[in-house]
Amino acid sequence: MSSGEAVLSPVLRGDLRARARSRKVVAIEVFLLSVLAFLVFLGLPPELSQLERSREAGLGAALATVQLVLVTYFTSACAAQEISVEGEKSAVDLLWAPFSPGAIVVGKSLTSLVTPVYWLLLGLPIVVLAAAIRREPASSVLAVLGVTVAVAWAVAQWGLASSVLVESELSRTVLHWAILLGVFVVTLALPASLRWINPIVAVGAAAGGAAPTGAFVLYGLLGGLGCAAANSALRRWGGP
Amino acid sequence: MRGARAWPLGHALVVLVVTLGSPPAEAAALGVRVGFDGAVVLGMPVPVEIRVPAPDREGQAQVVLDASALGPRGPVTATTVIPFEAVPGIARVFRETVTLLDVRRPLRVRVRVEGRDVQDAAVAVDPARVGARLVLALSASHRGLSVLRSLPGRIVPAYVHEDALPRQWQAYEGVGVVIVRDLDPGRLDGAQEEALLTWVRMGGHLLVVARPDIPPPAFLDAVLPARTGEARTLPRVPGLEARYGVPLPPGPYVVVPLVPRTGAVTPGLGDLAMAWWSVGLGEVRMIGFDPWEPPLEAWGGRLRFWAEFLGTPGEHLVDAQYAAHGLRTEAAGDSLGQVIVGVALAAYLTALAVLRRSRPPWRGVVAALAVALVALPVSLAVAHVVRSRSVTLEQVALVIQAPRTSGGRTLWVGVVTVPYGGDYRLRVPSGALLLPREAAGSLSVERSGEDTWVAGTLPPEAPRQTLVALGRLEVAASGVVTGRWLEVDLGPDRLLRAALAWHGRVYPLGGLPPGASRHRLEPDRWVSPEVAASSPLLARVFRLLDVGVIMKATSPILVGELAGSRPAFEFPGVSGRRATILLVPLSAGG
Repeated sequence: MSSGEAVLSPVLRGDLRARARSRKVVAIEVFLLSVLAFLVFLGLPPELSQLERSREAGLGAALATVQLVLVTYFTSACAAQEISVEGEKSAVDLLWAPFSPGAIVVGKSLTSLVTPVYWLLLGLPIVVLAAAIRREPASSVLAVLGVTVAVAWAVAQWGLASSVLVESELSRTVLHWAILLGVFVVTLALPASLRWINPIVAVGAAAGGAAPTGAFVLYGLLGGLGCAAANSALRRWGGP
Repeated sequence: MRGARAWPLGHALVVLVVTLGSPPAEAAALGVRVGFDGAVVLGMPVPVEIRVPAPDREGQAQVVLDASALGPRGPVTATTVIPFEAVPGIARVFRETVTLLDVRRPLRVRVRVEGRDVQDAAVAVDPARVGARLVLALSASHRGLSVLRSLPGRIVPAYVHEDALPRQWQAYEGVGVVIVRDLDPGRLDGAQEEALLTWVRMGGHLLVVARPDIPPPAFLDAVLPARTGEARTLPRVPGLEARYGVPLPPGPYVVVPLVPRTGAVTPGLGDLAMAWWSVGLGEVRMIGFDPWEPPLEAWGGRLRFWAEFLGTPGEHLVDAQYAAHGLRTEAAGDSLGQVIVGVALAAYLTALAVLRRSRPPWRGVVAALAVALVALPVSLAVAHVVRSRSVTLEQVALVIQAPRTSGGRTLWVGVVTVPYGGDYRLRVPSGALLLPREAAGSLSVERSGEDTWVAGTLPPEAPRQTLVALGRLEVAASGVVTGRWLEVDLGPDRLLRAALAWHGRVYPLGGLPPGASRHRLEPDRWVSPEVAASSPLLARVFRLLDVGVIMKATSPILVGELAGSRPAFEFPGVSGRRATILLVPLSAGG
C-alpha cells in the first residue's frame, strides 16, 4: 500500500477506483462537458443580439444553472444508486465488510465531494472561456463553483441516506426525485426574502457577483444532516 | 562708446526688474475662457481658450479638459487631451473645441507635465448663458440684443471680439446667426476667416450690417449678396415700416444703399436697403441700416426684425440618432471566432474522451486533469481572440451637398459595439470634429499630430457607443428636375442605389454614373416612401435616413450611396460595414 493510499479512506479508495474505470461515469462526464460546450458555443457574441451582461438572464447565469442541475443530479443519482456505477459497492453492502457505519458514511460522503469537484475541474476551461468572453470576474466563477459543490454534495448526502433507508429501487428513485424537486422547485415557492435558498437563485446571484455565503452554509448544514441521517440508518441496519 | 558701455548695465537692470517683477512661473493662474463671451449651447461644440503660464520645467506636457456628462449609470467624463512640449519660460495659448453636455459640474482644465498635474482650474458655466441658439454680434456697441430673450427658443446673445472667433467652422454649430457690424479684418487670421466662410457654406447664417464709410470686410466679399453705395440720410424709411408693421421713430436715418448681385433677393420696398441670398447650405443677409444706431435702437419693431432674421431652426435633412438606430440593426456575427471556439471545444472534448479510456484508469483521470489545467490558459487566449473579433464598428457618413460649392456638410455616425463592455480606441475622420452626444461611458479625445483619436471603456451594461463627428467632404454634385427629366452632374463621383425624393414620393434611379447624365422620369414609377424603404435596392439607404423629413423638403432631393472609399472612423484591427450617403438638394425648373 502506497503512502497516498494509506491516507485515503478504504471506502473512498474503492469508490474512486470504480468510478475511474466506469464507462457510465465516463459517459456522464462526456455528456456534461458536451452540454456545457454546446451552451458556450451558442452563447458566442452576438448571441441573439444580447450583448449586454444582464444579471438576471445572462447566458453566463444559464450556463451556471445547467452546470448546477446536471452536476447535482449526477452526483446524487450515483450516491442514491439510481445510477449504479460498475464495481462500486453500496453503503449497505459495505456493512458486511469490516467497516464501521461511520467510516462508510465518511467514505461515501467524500466520494460525493470528490466526484463533483473533479467534474467541475474538467468543465473549468469551458466555464472560464465563457466567463472571459463576458468579462465576468474570477470571483463570480469561484462562487458559482462553490455553491454547485455545496448543493451537489448536500443533495448527494440525502441520496446516500435514501439508498440506506429504502430498499426498493423504484421507491428510492421516487424519493431521490422528490428530494431534487423539493430543493430545486419547491424552494421557489418560498417568500422572496427566503428565495436565496433555491440553488438556482443562489447560483444566479453568484454569477451576478453576489457572495452566496448563506446558501453555501445552508447546504453545508443540510449535507451534514444527510450524513447524520445516513449514519443513523446504517447503524439501524446492524452495524457496530 | 559711452552708449555701448551703458547698454550692458541697462540690459542687466531690465532683466533684474523683469525677473523680480514676475511671479514664479507656475504661480501664475491658468487662464480659461469657455464659449462665446461665456455663452454655450449644450450638446454643441463651443470654443475654449486656455492660456498656460510659463512652466518651470520642461518635458512632455498635456492640457486636459474634463467635461462632465450623464451616462446610463451616472456621471461620466468626456476628456480632451492636447499634448505639447513644455519649455521653461514659454507661455502657451491653446484653442480647443469641446462639447459640454452637463453644466451642473464645472469644466475642469488641468496642465500635466511629465505625468504630474501642475496647474488646475475649474470653470463653471453661468446657467443664464446656456441657450438653445446663440446670436454672435461682432459689434463695438454691446447693447440692443437683449430683446432677443423675448423670442421663443432660448436665444442667448453674445458680443464677441475678433480674437474670440473660432478657427474650426464646426465650433459655430450652436450659433444661429453671426452679426458682423464692427469687424476689423486685420485682427483675424486666415483660419478664422476660412472657418467663418466654411460655416456659412455648410449651413450658417450671416448678417452683415453695412455702415457709412466702413466697407464690409474684404474676405466676405465672395459671399455678400450686394455691393454698398454712398451713404444717404433720409427723413424716414417707409419700407422698413411696411415690412415689419411698426411705425418708426422720427428720423433722420443714415442708410447705406445696397446694389444687389445677380441671384440676390431684395424685399422690393424702395428705400429698404436689404438683400440676401443662399450661399451653399447657408444664407447671407445684408442690411444698409444700423439697428444699433438711434433712432432705430429704440424702435418697437426690433423684435419682429430680429425674429425674421433668426427664423425658426429648420429640421436637418439628416439625424444622427436616426442613423445610429438604423446602424444598430446591422450587428453581424464573427464566423471565424465561432470556428475557433468550435474547434477548441471539440479538441478539448475529444482529448478528454480519449484520455479517459487509458489504462490503468487512474492514469486517465490524472491525464484528464492535466489537460484541463493546460486548457485554462488556452481558454483565456481563445476568449481574448473572440472578444477582439466580436468588436464591431458600423458607420455611415451622411453628406449634404452644399449647392454651388465643392463641399458637403458631413455627419459621420458610428456605432462601436464591444460585447460585454471593454476598451475601444478609434481615429476620427480627418478634419472632422467629434461631437460627444451621448456617452455610454467615460471617453477621451486625444490630439496626436493631425489625427484625433477617441478612446473609452464601455461598461458591460451598455456595450455600445454612438460616435458622431461633423466635417466636410469634397463633393460637387448638382442637378435640376425639369418636367419629366432629371439632369444631374455628379462630378467625379458615382452614385449607387440612387433615388429622387420629391412631393412625398420616391423615384428609384439605381446607379448613376460620374459626370453629367439625363434621366426620363416615368410617371408610373414614382412610389411611396414606405415602398421605397422596403425595396431591396433602397432599404440600405433609407434605413439610415428619416424619410419623413426628406419628404417635407421644399426642393427635390437626390439620395444615393457614394461609391468608393471615403474618410471614416478607423478602428485598427476592426473592419465594419460603412457607407457614404449623399443627399443633393436639386433645383426644380419648368
